[in-house]
Amino acid sequence: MDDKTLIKKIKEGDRNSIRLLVENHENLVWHIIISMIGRNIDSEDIYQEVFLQVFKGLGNFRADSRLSTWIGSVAHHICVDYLRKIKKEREIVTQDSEHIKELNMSTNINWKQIEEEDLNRKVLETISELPVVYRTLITLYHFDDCSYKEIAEITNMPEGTVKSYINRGRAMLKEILVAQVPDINEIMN
Amino acid sequence: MNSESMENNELDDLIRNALLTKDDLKIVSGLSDKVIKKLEKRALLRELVVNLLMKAGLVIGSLVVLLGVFIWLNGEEVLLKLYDYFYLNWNIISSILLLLVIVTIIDQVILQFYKTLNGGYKY
Repeated sequence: MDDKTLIKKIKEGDRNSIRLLVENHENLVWHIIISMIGRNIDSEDIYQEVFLQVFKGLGNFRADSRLSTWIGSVAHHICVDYLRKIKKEREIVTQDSEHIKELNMSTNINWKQIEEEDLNRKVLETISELPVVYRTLITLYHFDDCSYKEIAEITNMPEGTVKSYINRGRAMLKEILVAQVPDINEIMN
Repeated sequence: MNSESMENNELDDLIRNALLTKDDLKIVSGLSDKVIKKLEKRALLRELVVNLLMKAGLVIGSLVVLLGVFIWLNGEEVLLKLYDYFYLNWNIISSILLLLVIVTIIDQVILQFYKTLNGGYKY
């Protein structure tokens, strides 16, 4: 079913269409919330709030963008408001070089016997330590398979900025992992 | 070991595989169902209120038309007599109207809402 038909059916009160709307976009919304604010007592409330706002605003949705990117942008907007409310605005953008220094670059562990799950855990820890904008964009790009254009629409950033932030985030991640896991190429191969 | 040694596609795989294992990214069981139920209730309530307003509009519109025809047939003096009658008995008339509105809302919106939720959708 295309976006226009789905919205029309929802406005008519079709129960199945409402279910379709939520189920088709639940993962995208959840991933945005988790990558931006993490799993806490408010995550579920915010998830509900996103879909309530989407439902309320369906009448104003213009078909010039995809429904999924519009819903993603609603989720992003609500999360930004939430972060501002709890006064974590500084986390949204920080200086790259300072941040890399803060992260534990000096640890040099013998990872030769490392299991794949330990490596995954290390990668996740490193991703979670990145500034919120980088980890959000990385999650959308790598996990939700969103294009640069879609991410730009969701986050209301220029496409060039999205690309730059993703590359910067990946570069930071790469630098930290290589510094902490000298034999990472062997482990991965 | 140079960071350039790790190829970009290897990094992509690393990131993706790691994210796949992150439990927090798996949506909480039952959360979507909870949201769907809430949205369905809102949609139903909206539908019932709109139906009620349309019916009320139809009734009021019909009464206005009838009144217009009545006045046209009997002259403007009838309008003044009607006005005097409403003015003198405003408290009884407004009480009856208020009661009518409340009963209609209860019947057409509230009872219908719970009846539809419990018995499934009628359409």
